[in-house]
Amino acid sequence: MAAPTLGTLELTILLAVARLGEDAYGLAVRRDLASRTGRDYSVGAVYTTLERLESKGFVRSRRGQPLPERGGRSRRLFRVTAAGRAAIRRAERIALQVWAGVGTTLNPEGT
Amino acid sequence: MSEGVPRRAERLLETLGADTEFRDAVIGDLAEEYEIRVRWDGAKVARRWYYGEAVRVTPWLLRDWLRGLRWKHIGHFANAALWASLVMFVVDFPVRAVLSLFVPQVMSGALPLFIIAPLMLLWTVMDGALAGYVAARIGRRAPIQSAALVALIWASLMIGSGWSSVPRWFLAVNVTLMLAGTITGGLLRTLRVVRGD
Repeated sequence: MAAPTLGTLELTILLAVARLGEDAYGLAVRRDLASRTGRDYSVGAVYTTLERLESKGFVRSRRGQPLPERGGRSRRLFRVTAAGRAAIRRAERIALQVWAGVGTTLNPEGT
Repeated sequence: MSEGVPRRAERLLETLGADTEFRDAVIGDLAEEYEIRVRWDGAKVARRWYYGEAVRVTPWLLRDWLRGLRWKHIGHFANAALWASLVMFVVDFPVRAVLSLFVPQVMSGALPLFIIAPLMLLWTVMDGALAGYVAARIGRRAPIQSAALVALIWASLMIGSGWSSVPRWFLAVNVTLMLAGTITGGLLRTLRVVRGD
């Protein structure tokens, strides 16, 4: 069976979860994305994408401790699974192949 | 309920009926960021930010609610819509009967429409608000959606029934006011729970 595919936002969020390690939850992911892409994603969009990644088996979630600053609610913490790491490596390999040779076309004088 | 967070907005988000895990994650993140923004930007700016974000996350919460919708939930909605419609009809019928006594005079031009129209429009809002309130009370798992369902049913009935004999602008205004009244009734019921906390 073919591995599930990754959309652009899915890959971006999966990479953020991988970077954040054990501390990956919606707010941390949003901040990471905002600092790297300059875009302010809605918290709803982030969690919907995280749930989709979880249904594809690329991340796994667990509930943290209830926190007073969250009105007694827990953080939903995400971590990348082995399938998620494999998907990241696959996406990187494809991106490198797709981008190969583009630099010389865009900047011919530099070559 | 988070300390300091705009409680009414938070309450409205909670009642949109999304899956508990998804909803708590979203509302918890908003509460956490709100606390940070209060320290950085002050309560006024943070509050404005919260309202903006509440609007932004609403479609996502509704989407999650729709995905989790099952037949048993639809039965729950139908029950809320049925009872609210019944209340609306029972209360509405005698008032409309009295108002309809004036229709021949209005149609013949003996009584100007602008005299009777405001009364009918005011009644439409009040009746809609009552139906929305009842629907939200019975359909408490998703009160706003229950009120919206009643509004849609009644809007369809108004457009499809004998109301077509009245001027189109009057029908349009009536339907709009009924929709607004019903949703307002639903909101009033939902926010009443906050005041009662």
